[in-house]
Amino acid sequence: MTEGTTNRLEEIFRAALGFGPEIAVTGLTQQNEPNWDSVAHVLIVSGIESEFGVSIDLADSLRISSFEAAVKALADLGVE
Amino acid sequence: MTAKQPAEAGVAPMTFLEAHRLLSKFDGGTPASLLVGMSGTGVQLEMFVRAAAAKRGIDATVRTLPFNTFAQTLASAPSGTEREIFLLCPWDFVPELDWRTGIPARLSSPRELRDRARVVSARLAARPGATLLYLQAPVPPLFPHPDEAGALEQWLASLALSLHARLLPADAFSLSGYLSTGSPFTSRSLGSVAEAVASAAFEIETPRKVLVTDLDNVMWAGGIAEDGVDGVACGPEGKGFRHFIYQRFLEKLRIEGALLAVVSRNDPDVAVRPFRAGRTAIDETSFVGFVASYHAKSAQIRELASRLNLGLDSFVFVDDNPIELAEVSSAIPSVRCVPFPDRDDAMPQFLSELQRCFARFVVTAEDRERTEMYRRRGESVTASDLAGADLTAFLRELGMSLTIHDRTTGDRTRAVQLINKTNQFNLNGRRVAEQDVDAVLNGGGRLFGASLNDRAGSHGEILSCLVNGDGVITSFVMSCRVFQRRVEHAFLAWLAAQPYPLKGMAWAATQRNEPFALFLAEFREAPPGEDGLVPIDPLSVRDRFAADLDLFALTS
Repeated sequence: MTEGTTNRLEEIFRAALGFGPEIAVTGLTQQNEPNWDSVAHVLIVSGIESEFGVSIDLADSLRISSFEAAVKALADLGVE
Repeated sequence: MTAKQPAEAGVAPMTFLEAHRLLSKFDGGTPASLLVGMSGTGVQLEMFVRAAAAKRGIDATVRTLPFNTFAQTLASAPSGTEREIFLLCPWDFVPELDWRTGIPARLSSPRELRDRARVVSARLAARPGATLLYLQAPVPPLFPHPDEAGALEQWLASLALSLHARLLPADAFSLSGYLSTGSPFTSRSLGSVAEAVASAAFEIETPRKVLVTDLDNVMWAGGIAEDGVDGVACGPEGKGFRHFIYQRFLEKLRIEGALLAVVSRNDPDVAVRPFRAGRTAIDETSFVGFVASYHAKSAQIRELASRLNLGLDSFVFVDDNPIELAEVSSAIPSVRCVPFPDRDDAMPQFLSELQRCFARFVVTAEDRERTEMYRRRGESVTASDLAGADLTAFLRELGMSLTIHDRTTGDRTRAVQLINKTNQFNLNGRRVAEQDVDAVLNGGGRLFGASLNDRAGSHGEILSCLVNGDGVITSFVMSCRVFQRRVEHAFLAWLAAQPYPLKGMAWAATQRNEPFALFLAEFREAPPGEDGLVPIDPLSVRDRFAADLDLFALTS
């Protein structure tokens, strides 16, 4: 995955979770982040779909439970 | 999961990050409160609506409804403090159509369902301040015969239209999204749905009077300067079909009282050729102004407004090029800018939007004669030298990447083809044969091409430049499709920074290459006059266009 894609993904996470640019999100998981509630999850998934022009179905969206999982989901979709 | 789909060309809807960034930079505007009511969830849409409002200078507070409370909202009185925008789906009229409730085994008769829909319709009609948008989502096969479901779908759309609802395209619906999160919209459509919401909420439509249209790839398919009269298409077949429909539509608008005008980046005598050759379904005399020049289109529109003595807020501008639309929109925000669609399926919505701009219930005799009346006021309108808008911020948002190809060796077909077919942005109009190129390259010269991509997709290889062994550019051409993106400036800055000698350009004026003359005038003290060598100072060029190079992610 290119650096540009990773940066955009980080920006989506920060926007969905209400974080400023100084907060690192690469190690984030749904379990260890209190802001990652169901609404934030919906925003993360729709943000990824909107930004990268992909479609993620329910089963796959539930697997996005960490930043790393989102990276993998994007890679599986062929986003470089 | 579904793999990445090709990006649509043309004006792409706002993405998640674009909306977020826009709001991050927005430092407040006119406050407004908005209720975006729908039976599904509006969580994903909310940020997009605030961003679309911010684009209009409005600091919107957006309230969305808790899931599945739309019917209760309709049954209660409006708050009176917020503008109501309702995004309706078929199941808001007939709950049995809701995919989320499953498909009922027993069903009321179609007549009963319609009666129920009329009750909802009456409630909506009782909220005169509310603005309605209707999503033509597919409905489940409720009836024994599929035609009955289809008939109900159509009837519901008609019912929504009778309430003056604006229609949202069916492909904005996502069953997957609706089932998983409750949002009926695809994530890709959120930007355009938000635009429709903001437009309905904040743009109080005053009837427009003048439709200003571009020519190339709008009035016809193709570029008249490059393709010639026989190469452009606007007949009722093939790639010209949508342009034919557009021309017929313009003629209808004219008869209804709209004034039509042309602005085009072309030479005037070239721009009128398809009309005079009888290739068009609309006559040249249907236009009250015909401006063809290489000046900024905003300047051309201002000139038209001045000559016609009409306010700029009465103008609508149609163009296929997002850069031109952005330039006009930025320089004259009161002009309504409408992108010409790049696919046939988008035509109904496009024409509907234009018709809305010029909507009228009665057409009078005066309406029919308006064009002639204005034509008598002045036959020709020419553009002034007014500068256009600074597009730097807009160009940055395009995410442009420029790939420079060294075609000195390997396949050079496209590079040579460009040199031999480009007329407008052409250093000297000189055509080259393969052996001419061989001679230059064998003498230590170099041949470069450049490809452009942006977030709307690929524009392909759009630039070609041949430099001889003495450092003189003997051919330099660029496709007119990418005018105004500063590609030529960026390329020259890149070239000036290369370790090859660069002394000048072999300039010659032709009947068509005014765009190149304007480009030369940007970095020369005096405009180019005599044909011959135009010297280049590489250091000076590199510094002057360094900011243009920064607009692109560069690969070479």
